[in-house]
Amino acid sequence: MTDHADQEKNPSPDTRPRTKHYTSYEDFYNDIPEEGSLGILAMGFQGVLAWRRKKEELKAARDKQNFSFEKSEENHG
Amino acid sequence: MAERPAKRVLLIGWDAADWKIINPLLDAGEMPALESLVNNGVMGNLATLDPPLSPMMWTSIATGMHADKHGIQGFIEPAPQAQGVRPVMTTSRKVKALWNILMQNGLKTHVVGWWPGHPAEPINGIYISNHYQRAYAPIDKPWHLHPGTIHPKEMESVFDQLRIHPAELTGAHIMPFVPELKKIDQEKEKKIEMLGKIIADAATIHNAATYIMENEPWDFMAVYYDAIDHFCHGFINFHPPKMEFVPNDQYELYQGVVNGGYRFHDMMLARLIELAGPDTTIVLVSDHGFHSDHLRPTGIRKIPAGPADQHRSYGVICMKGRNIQKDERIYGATLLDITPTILSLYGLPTGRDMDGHTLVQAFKKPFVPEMIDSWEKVEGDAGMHPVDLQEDPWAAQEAMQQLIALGYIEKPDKNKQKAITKTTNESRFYLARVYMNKSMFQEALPILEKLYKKNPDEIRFGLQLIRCLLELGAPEASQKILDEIKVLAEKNRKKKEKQTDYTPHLDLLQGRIFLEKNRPMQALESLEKAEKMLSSHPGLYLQIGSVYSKLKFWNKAIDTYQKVLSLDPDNAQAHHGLARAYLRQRRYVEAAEEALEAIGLLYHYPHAHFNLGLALLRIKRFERAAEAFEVCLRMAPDMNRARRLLIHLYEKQLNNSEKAEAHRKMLEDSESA
Amino acid sequence: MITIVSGLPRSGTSLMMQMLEKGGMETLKDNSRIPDVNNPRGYYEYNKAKSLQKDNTWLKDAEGRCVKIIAPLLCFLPVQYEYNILFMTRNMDEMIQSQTKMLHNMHQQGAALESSVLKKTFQKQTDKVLLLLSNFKNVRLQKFSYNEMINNPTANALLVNQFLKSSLSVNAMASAIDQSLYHERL
Repeated sequence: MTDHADQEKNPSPDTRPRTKHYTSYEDFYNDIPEEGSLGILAMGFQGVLAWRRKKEELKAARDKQNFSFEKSEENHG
Repeated sequence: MAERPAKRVLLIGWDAADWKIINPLLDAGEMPALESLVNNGVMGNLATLDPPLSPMMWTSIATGMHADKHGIQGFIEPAPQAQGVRPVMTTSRKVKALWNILMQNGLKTHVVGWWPGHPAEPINGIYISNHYQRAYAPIDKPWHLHPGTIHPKEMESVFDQLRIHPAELTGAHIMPFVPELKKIDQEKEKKIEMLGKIIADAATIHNAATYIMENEPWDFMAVYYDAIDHFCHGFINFHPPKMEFVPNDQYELYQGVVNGGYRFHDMMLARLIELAGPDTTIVLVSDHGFHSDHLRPTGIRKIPAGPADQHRSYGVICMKGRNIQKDERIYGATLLDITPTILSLYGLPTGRDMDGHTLVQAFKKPFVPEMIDSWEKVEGDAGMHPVDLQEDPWAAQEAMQQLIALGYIEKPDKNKQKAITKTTNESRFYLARVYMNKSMFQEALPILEKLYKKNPDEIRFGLQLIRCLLELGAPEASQKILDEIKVLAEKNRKKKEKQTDYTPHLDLLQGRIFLEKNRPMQALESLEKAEKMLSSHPGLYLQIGSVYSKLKFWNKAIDTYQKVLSLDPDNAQAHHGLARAYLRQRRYVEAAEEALEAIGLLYHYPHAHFNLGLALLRIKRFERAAEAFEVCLRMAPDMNRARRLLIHLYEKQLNNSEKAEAHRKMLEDSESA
Repeated sequence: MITIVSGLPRSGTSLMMQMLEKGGMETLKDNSRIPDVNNPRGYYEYNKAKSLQKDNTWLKDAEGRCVKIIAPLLCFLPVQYEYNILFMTRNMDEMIQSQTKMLHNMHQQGAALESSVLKKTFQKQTDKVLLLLSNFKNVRLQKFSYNEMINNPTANALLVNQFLKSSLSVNAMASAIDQSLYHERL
């Protein structure tokens, strides 16, 4: 599995595409930024589905955190 | 050819891709995937056809035929029951596409996004229509797939989820194209929205393609991306070098979009190559190029399909596979050659009714392609639409017109009728141009005459009619029409109604008419008038050059052709014009060099091979001269002048009486016919 | 139930309308087109039926009556009604010849197509409509041949009755057929 995501982290017209090789899906998945990247789109359906899953996971984690924060506010408020 | 040269084939379409933009990116190492194809395969120009309109071109690529045979004649067509117009549809294609032929031969085929590609054809694999990717509703509203988008229907739920809505994209997707995105007020500036749509559409097509490649067995897969054409139509004026009229701030913001678009396609290509695997032969093509330098038009004519003025006449071809040559250039390919070439890759015969030929030069081992009369006559399930769904929309519209005229159906409302009439006119105009492109002037003439008669204020139709009449050697009729058009053009100019100033075109045609009437001095006067008004129009300079050549004003012709080449170094006709002029000036080495340049750009160019032969003959390179004449005669068997010179060469210089005799026999046959 | 007489122009639709009317069925027609040399006994047309694709609200007035609708417009029939369709067919060459004559009489220009192409196109359009209608549960359809009707008026009048499951007057229906109006016999 390859990704060009590095390229977009510093998007300047001179940046040349680089290919990053992952040895496992897990490594690749961990590397996906929440805002996505062109490299992930270029990977096709697998990249896009993984990105969508990642976004949902991060959102769920944030919601959970906010929920516990609100709870603790309530408890202490 | 006993063995099959390709196990399977991946055909990738990049609408409007152009080497002129790609080459600097390759040199900078910014398109590594394409570079791997180029280095391990063959590459070359792919000559487009006239008119260079994408749905017509992609159908020619998929059928190996011109539009008069395949039936797709423009962007839109009449809708059934006089209900206005609609985008061109697959049901209107009259002949089998490559995938239909391959399916008949037991190969598993898939097609993604081809244009026209709606409704999806019932092939033995998956067919995704070109309506699949368009987001027609906001992200929070239902965005259902239209009926006919996916074949087979049971796959709809899978592909439904693979679509990307433009609103799903983030700054991380846009910034590689527009690094200063944050400076832009997106409420006022709609370019970013447009860019998002292009990226999302391309990614959606790519998702479908990668899904099929990973999850379905396949022998042939065709996937078409329209994004490069859209990046270019939207942003080419911001591409470096800066055009004078483009404001600095806009240039700074958007100068990287077109290159960004190519880099994005290279990234997607890398994934396709990876999924295709080493045993797949990959064929990457574009239907036309896109002017990206000083030849960019500064305005778009307000005529139907006006943006096509930005198209360049050479697209790209690149092929890589086990039985394809490595790191070689191929010459003279046209987009009609793609279907025959892919059929040969599967060891299948090509159709004699196809207008293109197998690109044998691309293969490692030389061979003579097998042929059959026509694939249309081969019976069996080809995965085409059922006969009751196939329809010639133009004939259907005429039949409907008859029912309306008979008073059995109410006339459509004015707007619909206007749209139908306009669409019909355009398609007839395109068909006439197709005929002229094929040198079938007799077939083009009645169409143009009727168009001009019904639409005397459409100067385009009149000008084309004059060009056709001149080809048929009718200067008097041409003059009559030109006089009418001059009056109209003058009226328009005074009223400032029409933006296009046709004056130089009229002068040029006047020059050609005078020349046809054997009045060379008047011809010259008109041409010089035209020349004064033109600053950067290679097409018109080319015609001026040919008139100077006819007048035997060789120095003037050379100057004019050189002017063309300073504007467009890839102009095969200009190189050929120079070759002819140098020959007449006895500058034979230069003539041979220019003829070779022309052939390198456009291989199927019998006159260029003939003049190459002539130049080589004069410098006593007899064997090479004979080769050039042989090639010329293979392309144009009726060029008896070439055959006579060849007989002379074989008899007097090469001592090959057998070949001389064979050609003498052919010459006699040709002359008696 | 709405009774529809359909077919292409000059396939005998007006004749069938006359038969039904003479037989006792109420027809939905107006006088938008007066009888002329092409149809001396009248066209039996209802003007709104010519723009069914735009407006189908008038179909409620056709309930229990019969109305003439040209074949290509049948695909615009709404699903809420039930239809008996008497679909007229005729030798296609005869029909096109008759249309050409009618266009000439009307000083109108027809399709810019060779008659073989026009014939093929009409045939295809008709087949398409018939195929589409065969999927509709609210449609019963029977074809009637104009040429057959001219030759066997009574037998065909009986067939009409049988199809409509009605008791229209067979003799009156058969008497509507006037062989002298059959001009384009091939």
